[in-house]
Amino acid sequence: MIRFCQLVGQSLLGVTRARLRSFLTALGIAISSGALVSMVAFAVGLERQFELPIQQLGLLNDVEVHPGKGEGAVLDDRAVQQFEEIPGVAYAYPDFRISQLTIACGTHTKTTFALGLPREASLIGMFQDLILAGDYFSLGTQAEVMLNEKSLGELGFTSPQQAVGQQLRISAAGLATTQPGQFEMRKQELIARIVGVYRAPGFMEELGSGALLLPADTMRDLPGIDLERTLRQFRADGTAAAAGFAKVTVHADSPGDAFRVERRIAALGFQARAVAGRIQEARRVFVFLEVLLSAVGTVGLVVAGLGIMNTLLMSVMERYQEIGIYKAIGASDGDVRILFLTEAVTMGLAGGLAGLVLARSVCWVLQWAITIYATRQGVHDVGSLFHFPVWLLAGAVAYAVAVSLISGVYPATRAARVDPIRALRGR
Amino acid sequence: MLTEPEIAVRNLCRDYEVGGAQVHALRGIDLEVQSGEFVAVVGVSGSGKSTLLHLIGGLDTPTAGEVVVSGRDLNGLSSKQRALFRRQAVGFVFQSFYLVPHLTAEGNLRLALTFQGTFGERRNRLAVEALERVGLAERIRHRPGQLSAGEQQRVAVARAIVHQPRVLLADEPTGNLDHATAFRLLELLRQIQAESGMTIVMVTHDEELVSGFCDRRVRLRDGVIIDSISAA
Repeated sequence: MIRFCQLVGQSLLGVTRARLRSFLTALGIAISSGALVSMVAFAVGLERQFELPIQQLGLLNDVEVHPGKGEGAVLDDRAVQQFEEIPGVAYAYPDFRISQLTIACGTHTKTTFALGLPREASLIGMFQDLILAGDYFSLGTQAEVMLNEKSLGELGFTSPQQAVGQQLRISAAGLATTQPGQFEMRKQELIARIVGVYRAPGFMEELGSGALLLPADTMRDLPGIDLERTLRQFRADGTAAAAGFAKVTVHADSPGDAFRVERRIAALGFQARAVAGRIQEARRVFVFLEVLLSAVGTVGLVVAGLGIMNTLLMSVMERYQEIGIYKAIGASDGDVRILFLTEAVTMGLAGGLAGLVLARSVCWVLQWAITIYATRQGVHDVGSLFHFPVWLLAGAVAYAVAVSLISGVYPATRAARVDPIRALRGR
Repeated sequence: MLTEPEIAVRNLCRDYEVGGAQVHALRGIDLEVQSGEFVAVVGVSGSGKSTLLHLIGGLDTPTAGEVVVSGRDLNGLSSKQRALFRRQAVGFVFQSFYLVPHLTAEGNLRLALTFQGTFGERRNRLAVEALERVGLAERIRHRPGQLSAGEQQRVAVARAIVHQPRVLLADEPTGNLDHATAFRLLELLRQIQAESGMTIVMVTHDEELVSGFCDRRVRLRDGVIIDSISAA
């Protein structure tokens, strides 16, 4: 091992001898490796832009349940409780939403869309990444709301922190069920405390439009939450299937559990679909994009690898006699092979590391330019288009080293096979 | 009592193919060199002197015959085993010095020791001691280009003896030196031989120069030993 390390050290001297040539060869690796990293970072960045909000909201763990076609598959409170008893389920809640709600704070008023979320979500830290100020709903029964940052200005707040703790007056009006098959128009007012301000993740249209968030238990008492169900009851004349909720969300402990839960609920006669399953198609597109861009980048790296091979072959020819001397003073074929392979790996490693710096720099400039262009076109919050996960950085360097090593095998083998007699005679 | 020779060459043949024609560089050489002996192999260019030296040093393999050095039969050794033999048993000195140009005098010796598996402080100490032994204590940090021809050849000698081999093989070591420098180099080799008891086989075409230093003179012509004369 010591001998191997000493030979590696000796080899590094060889790289520094033809500095310009070694530098240009490593530069070739750096450019191609940098291009590969940039392209894959772009694909990963896009995928992340798509998946991050889903992860932040914990949607990968969700199973969306709709009423079944059978008589007994009614999505009512009993069904929700039944779902919560399935192993691997964290909680389940009916889908409550109101398309128009008036909110007021002091003299400022605004109409908004509202969504109901379970209080239990705080126990597993869901939503935390999106909160700008304050906190998620408490586990009690207090009337609480969370504001979207887009609503701050219209309600007279200058910062998220200023809004937290303030009272919000909520006015809801809509159809409410009095008994099966009978409805009335009802209005209700509610004073709730603003417990937090959140920023909606990209691509989440409902939240992104400035939805007001309320605890599901607070929301279920408001008129108009079940407009869809009411309409179905009108149409279905109060049949059992139309009596329950339109949709229930079941949150599993993990994405893996979500698929098991999906099957269990489907076995109960409901229509269940894991969100993770729905995004598989989109994921496939991103994987294809990553593979395609990696393949394009690999072409460059292979060309750079040929550059290394060329450099080393020239080095073998130039140092032909020197290799003969090495052998005369005791170097084995393996020693000579190690010397040249180390040179190849050194250039690959240097090029790979420089490629990372190059890729980060180029992507930074591109992000900056695209953000300016998008802003001028009226598109704000472009987000991070490039993402550099550790596996990409480490993988790119390892890939550059591997390509260099493979490129070095032929020159190193030629060097190892040099006949010392012919070399010393200068033939 | 008869002792085993340090070098024993029996019926050694080496053929080459040059441009489709067969060249017989050595034609059945028999030679024995005793331990501590200084043998000069002389002859005109193309007589097979260097080929004989390369075969003794394990750099080349014979077409036929046997080479035994320090009790080790070189026949049938693999490339790796011959490399091991070279790094342990013999030291080479060449006409063109063959120093690695980008390394200092000490660096050249350290490189040889690295191949021989000697590292760290011991490697540094051996390198400096060998250079001191050839009178280059003040020149250890100089690169070959900064040294005179005589000094370069002394570095080459130091490199050849740094691992204290039993056999030193010198291929026209004075060929690129002026007469006075060549004379001093031969004095150095003789001194090393006297101090360490090393066996020296030196190939040269300058019979007159070497005659005062060697124990025996072996003359080759057309791949055959034509005479072997011991010094008076």
